[in-house]
Amino acid sequence: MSRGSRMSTDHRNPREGDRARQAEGRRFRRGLTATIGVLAGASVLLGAASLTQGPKLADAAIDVERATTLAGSRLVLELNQPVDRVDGDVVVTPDESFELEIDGDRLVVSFDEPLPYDEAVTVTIDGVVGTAQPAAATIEYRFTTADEPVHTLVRRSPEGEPDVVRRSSVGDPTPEDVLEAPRLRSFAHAGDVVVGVAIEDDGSNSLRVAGIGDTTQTIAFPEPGTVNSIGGSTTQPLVAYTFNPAAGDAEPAPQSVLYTLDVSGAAAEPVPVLGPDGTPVTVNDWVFVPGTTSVVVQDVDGAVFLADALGLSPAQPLGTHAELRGMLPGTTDLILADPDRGTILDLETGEARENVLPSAELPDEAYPGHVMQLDDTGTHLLEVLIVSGDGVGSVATEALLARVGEAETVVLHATGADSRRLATCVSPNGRLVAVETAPIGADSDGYPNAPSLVGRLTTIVDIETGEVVLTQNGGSSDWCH
Amino acid sequence: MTPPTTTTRRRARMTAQSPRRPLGTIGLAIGLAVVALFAAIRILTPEDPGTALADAVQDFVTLSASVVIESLPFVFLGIVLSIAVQLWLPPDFLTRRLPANGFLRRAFISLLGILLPVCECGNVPLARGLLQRGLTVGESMTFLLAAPILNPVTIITTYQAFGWQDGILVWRIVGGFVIANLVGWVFSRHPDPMSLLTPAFQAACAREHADAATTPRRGARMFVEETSAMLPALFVGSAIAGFIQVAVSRDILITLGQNPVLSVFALMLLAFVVALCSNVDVFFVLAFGSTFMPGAIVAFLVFGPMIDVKMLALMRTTFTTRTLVQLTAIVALASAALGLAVNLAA
Amino acid sequence: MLHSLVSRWKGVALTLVSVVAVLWLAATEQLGLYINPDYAAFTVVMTIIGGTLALAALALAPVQDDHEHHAVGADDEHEHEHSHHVPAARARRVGPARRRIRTASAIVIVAGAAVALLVLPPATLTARTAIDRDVEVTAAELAADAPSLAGADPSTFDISDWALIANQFDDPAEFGGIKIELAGFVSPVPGDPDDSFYITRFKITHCAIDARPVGVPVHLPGWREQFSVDDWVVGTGELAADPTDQDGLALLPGTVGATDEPGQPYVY
Repeated sequence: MSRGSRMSTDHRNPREGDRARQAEGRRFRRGLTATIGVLAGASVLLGAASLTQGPKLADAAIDVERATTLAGSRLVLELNQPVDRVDGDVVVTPDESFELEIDGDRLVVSFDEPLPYDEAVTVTIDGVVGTAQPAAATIEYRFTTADEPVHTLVRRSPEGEPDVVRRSSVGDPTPEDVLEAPRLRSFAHAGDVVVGVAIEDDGSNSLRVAGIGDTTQTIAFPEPGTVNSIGGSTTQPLVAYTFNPAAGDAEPAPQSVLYTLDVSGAAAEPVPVLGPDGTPVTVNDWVFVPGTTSVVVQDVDGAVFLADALGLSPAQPLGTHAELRGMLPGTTDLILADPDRGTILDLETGEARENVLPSAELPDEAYPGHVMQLDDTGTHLLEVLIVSGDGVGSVATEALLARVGEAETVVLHATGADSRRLATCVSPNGRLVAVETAPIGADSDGYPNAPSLVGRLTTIVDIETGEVVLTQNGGSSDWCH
Repeated sequence: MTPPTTTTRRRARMTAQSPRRPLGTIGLAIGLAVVALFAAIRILTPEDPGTALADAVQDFVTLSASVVIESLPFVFLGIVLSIAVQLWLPPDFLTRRLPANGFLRRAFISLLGILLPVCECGNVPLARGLLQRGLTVGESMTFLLAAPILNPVTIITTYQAFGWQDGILVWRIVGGFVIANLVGWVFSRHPDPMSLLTPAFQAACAREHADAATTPRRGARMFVEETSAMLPALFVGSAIAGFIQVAVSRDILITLGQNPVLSVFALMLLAFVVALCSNVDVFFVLAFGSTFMPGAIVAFLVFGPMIDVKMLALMRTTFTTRTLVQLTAIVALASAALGLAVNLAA
Repeated sequence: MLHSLVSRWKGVALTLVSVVAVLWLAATEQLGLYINPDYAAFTVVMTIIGGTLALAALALAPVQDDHEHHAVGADDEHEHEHSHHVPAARARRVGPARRRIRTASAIVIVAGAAVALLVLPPATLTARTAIDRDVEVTAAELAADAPSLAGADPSTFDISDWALIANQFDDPAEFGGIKIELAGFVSPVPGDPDDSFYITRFKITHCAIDARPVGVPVHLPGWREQFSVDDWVVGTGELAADPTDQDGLALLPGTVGATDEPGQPYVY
């Protein structure tokens, strides 16, 4: 007998003690049995209950930045069990075209086009049946896409103030000035980094880089010259520009060489983009391929090639074409134009297909202008100028912007009678368009090689609805490159 | 009854002339010689045995050794704290300060781990020390089960791994507390608590009261006894953990893990076999975080610190097999119920 | 004599074995083969304390107890399950045969520990464990705690980042053109054993038992003629769409060469 129990039973006579001990033993066993019984019962009930539940969302992942810049971005809904089938419908609000793929315990929704900026998107998938339980469940996930900055260049030097690059965003129209220089010719941004082309007193150009560290860095060129075309990648920390050395040397050096600038870290050296033969070429036009470090370059002879901005792989020739018309928004589809036909070249697969644009329904007095293609069915934005004479010699013009689809032509925006349109630029996701205007009769600001008008205004318009999203002082939107 | 060991004891007395006198410098010399011998073996064995061992055997040795090396510092920490508690905590220190009400007492005791941040491997000697210091068997069980979870290191690592995600941290703490107190309550009703303990441990209890040696000698003797109790168990447990890692395909567990019901049991089984220290097991289960349901992770994190291969081996030093079966049944069912409930709600 | 010696001193013997093994591993900077180096300092400090206590115990503890049969061990007392109510009697009933078994198993444990920790050379896990633990599954699991890779600097990526990228991305455009160099051991790709292999490393969170293999598939038809499983190799090249497995990317190697196992074979 142990010491503990003896102490508790010593004072009783042995028989009573035995009985008491037996009673205590029964009490312990009852407590033990009841505890185990209750716990076992609870486990069985809870297990049965969870078997009648359908699959549940365990984790969801979408890169909201990629979703607005690239087509084919994927929302991965990870469930708590493998998916057997989806019986119900998939609803995406706002309406977007997508594909649903079942991959083990993941439901993958791929969006065919880049999504709108700063938009709450809800994906609802009905009738999801897992392999573990027979019950169907509804999976719902909501996310908000990334906001997109809207940059404009405000030239204030005619008023005696330095020029600034002004930034607001689609979701937050409060502007802030991100780059300042006495005179700015143009600019481009890649992520948070803004690279401006400054005009020095002697008329030559230099680069101002803001957004790396706290202070603005200046990149001067070894020889004087001008930067004629600058653009940023929508997905990579890369900016590219063409540089023309100032004339004066008799040497026939290549003009308009394309350079890339890696703005991912501390100050980087510009790297020239080399042609297929490994030497710098004179560039006529160029464009970044979204989602990659590649650049499509057209040289002065019309030869088009695909080069790597970091110079890691040799350039690949893509044939000779009359015109580069940019990329379909968010894709690797390159739009090429020749006098006899249009072509869409998928740079990923190398497949080319014919590009036919639907014709716009325009009144007689309309003059079509610049075309900006939005998707591979040929939907495009068209600048239209309506010229109406009153019969006595005075002519009124109205600048319209139309969306031309296979089914219909819709006027999205009309420039007011007191202003004139200077440029239209489609946003990287193909959902918005920046219309740059200036008052009629505005003075030229007289900038060397890049004059513009004083008092420019940029209006951001929704391509789907024609609604004005925001207006901001300044122009030269870098959406155009 | 005449115990057969009387003769053994006499024989032992005859062989060693003065068994209770320490070896002193001779012992130290022997120890240093053994260390030198081990070091020589280690240094002189060739670094590269070629391909003497099959991959499976090689991995078994590596995995087992890694569990030993991982656990060893926590075992030493536990032994040191245990010896300190036994040597310097006055016998009635705990019993005097604890509330008299059984439920409150156990609730207090389950929070002792916050003051004694020891991993579960080190808790068995500590619990043994507390038992010898006047805690009842039920109370020592409450401490043993609660301390690995309700201790700062475990809480911090769990927070680092999961944050507030799915309430895993909260459920781990609440579950550990409730289960430990439930077990303490059940066993506090036992009519003969001492019978829950192994005879060897009861004997150690009995001897303890008669021990009058000096503090350093008592400490040294405790170290000898605790290591003799803990380390063979640790090595055997680690070997089992290593063996299962090599022998059981992980695919099986992972396939099970996506089922809301079976995942709970799969991870509890995994917790049982991998036998990781409670303050590090979250990092292990984090690897399964994306494929396993939160309830399964909670069950892993509650069940594992309380019961696993290594812990059972260690607890066998103190509790009888029958007691351990009852204890394991309660803890396992409670952890499973908790895990299933979390899965249901998640 | 042997019985009492073994039952009394097995713990100290195991302590000294472990202490020597751990301190030697720490001195030769091989502790990282078993545990995450973050824990090395704590491990070494506690090991030194344990070793000191073991030596002190040898000097101070009584040679044997008058209660030496009470020395407890994990392998004790299996015979007592049924005699629940007479504990005082149970303790004494240790027969000579049982004592022999107990002593023998203690000797086996000590000898086994000495062989495993002192005689066998320290080793990394082999490709066998990598295969069992499924390289691709690990990559999927890593995604859970992977930071957003967009905008990160690829030059800081280690093999687990690249493994994640190779597994997660189907479109080579994002990371194509970045030259990467990876070292690891060779483990076969289950679906494509002849044309591809993984350059594999084990990623360790705490100790080797939680090691998770991470690997980047390398497309190199006929690789078995050059390398065998478990060889250490360095591969350089670029990520491209996996020619055989449409899902995910693979390293299209410029060069793959044999190398020696590095001193720090794991990633943490």
